[in-house]
Amino acid sequence: MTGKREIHIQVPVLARVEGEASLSLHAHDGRIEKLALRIFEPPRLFEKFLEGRDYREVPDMVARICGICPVAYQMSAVHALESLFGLDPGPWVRAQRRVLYCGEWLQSHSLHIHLLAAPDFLGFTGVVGMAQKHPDAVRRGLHLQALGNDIIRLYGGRSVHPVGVRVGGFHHAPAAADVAALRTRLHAALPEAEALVAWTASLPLPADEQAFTCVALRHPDEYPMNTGRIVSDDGLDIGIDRFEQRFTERQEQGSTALYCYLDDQPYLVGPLARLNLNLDRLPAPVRQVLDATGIRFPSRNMFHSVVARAVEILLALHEAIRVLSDYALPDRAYADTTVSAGSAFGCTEAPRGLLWHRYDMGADGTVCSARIVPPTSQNQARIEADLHQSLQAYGLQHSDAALRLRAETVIRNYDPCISCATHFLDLRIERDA
Amino acid sequence: MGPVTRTGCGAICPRFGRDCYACYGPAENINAPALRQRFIGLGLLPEAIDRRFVSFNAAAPAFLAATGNKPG
Repeated sequence: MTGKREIHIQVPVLARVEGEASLSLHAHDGRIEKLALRIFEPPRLFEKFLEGRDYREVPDMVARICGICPVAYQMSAVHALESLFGLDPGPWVRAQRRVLYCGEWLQSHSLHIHLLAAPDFLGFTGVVGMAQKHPDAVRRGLHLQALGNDIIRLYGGRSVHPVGVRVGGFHHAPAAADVAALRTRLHAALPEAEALVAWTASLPLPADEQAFTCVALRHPDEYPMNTGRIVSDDGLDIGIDRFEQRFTERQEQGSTALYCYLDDQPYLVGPLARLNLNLDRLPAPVRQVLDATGIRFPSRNMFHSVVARAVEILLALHEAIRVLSDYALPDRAYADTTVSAGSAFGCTEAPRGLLWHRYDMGADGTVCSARIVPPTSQNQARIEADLHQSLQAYGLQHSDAALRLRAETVIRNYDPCISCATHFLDLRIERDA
Repeated sequence: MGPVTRTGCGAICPRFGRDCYACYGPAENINAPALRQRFIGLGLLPEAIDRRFVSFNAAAPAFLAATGNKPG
C-alpha cells in the first residue's frame, strides 16, 4: 500500500545544529531517489582573509571561524606554524595546551549531548521541554559545560574567541592558585561525568549498524588531541603533511561547504571515529566506565556517537587532572619564534573531528595562502550516505513527520558545525578580454 | 589598540600581557592619527599599522578612515 507513495520531505532550516542547512528528500516506489543535505549558509572566505596577514595574527583570526571550537582552530594553526618554523615550545606548553583542549571538548561535547542531541532520543523538541522531565540530567550537563568554559577562560581570558594562545605557547601562564581551584572542581566533576556516560548509554538509541570508514589522529601513547598521525580502520597511516595526497575536496551543487573524500569515498571523523580507533589509548579508569555500559566498541552504530562524546568528557576530566596535578609556573609561557618560508601543516582533533590546516608562508612571516579543512565538510558525504541507509532501514512506510524527525536526528547526531564548514567557495569569474 | 577600542571586555589582552587587537570595534570619537603616530614611534611599519585597524572591524568607518581608505 505504501510502496507507491510519493514522499517529498523538505526541512527548510534544520534546528539544533550550528549554522544554516536544509534537507530535501524525494522517495518514489519505496526507494529514495533524491536526498541532499544543503548547506546554504553564505561562504565565509576565511582563507582569503588570512592572506597577507602576519603569522602572529593567525591564532586570533582563525578563532573566529567557530564560536564553539575556537581552541581547535588556534591549536591546528599554531602547530602548523611552529612545525614550519622549527619551533619546539617545550613540555610545559604542550601539557597546558592539552588541558586547554580538554576544556573545549568538555564544553562542546556537553553542549551537543544536552542541548542538541538528547532531546531527539527522549522525544522532546528542545532542551527546555527536556529540562522539565529530566532536570538533573540537564543541570549536570550545563555544569560540565560551564566547567569546560572556565578552563578555556583560565588560559584564554574568555571562553569564546580566547586570547591566550600564541605561536610558541601562551601569552600568559595561569596563576597556581587558580589552577589549584580548578583542580578541586575537576575532581568534584568526575562522578558527574561517570554518571553521564551511563546515562547516555541508557538512552533509547536507535540500533542502526552501518559500514563506514573511521578516520582520526593516533598518537604513540595518548588519546589524540594535538598531535599524531592520520589513521583509518582501513589501514591508512600517514603523516599530516600527506593529507592532500589521499583526501580531496570537491564542490557539489547546492552546498557552500566542500565535500571531502578519502580515496574518493565518504568517511567519518569525530568522537565515534576517534574512540573506535583509540580505545587502547583510554586511561584505565575511563575504560572501566566505558566497559560497564555494556556497549561494545569499536561500534558501527552511528548513534553511539553520543556515548563516545560522554566518554571523551570523562577522559577530558581525567587528562586535565593528570596534567595539572604537578602544575608549576614556567619561567616563560612561550618560546621565541624565528620565521621561515614554506608550507606549514597542522592537524588536531577538534571536538567534531580532524581539523587540518595548511599555510603557505612568505619569508617575512606573512600568509601567502591558507587552506582549512574542518570536520563538518569531511563528514558531509558520510551524513548523506547515512541518511540514505538509515531512512531506508527505518522504513519509508513511516509518516512524513516521522521520516523527517528521523532524518533530522541522524544529521544532528553528527554535531555538524555548519558555520565552520562554509569558508569555501570556489569562485571563478570568467571575463571576456 | 586600547585607546581607540570600545570597552566592555575587561581589558583581557593587556591583562594577559599582549596587544589589544580591537575586537570590540571602534570607540566613539577616536583619535586614530595620534595612535598611528604612537605606533610609528614604537617602530611599526605603515602596512603593519594599517593591518591593526582593518581586521574584524575592517568595515567600521572610523577604522577604515584611519587607514586612509573610504567605505565602499
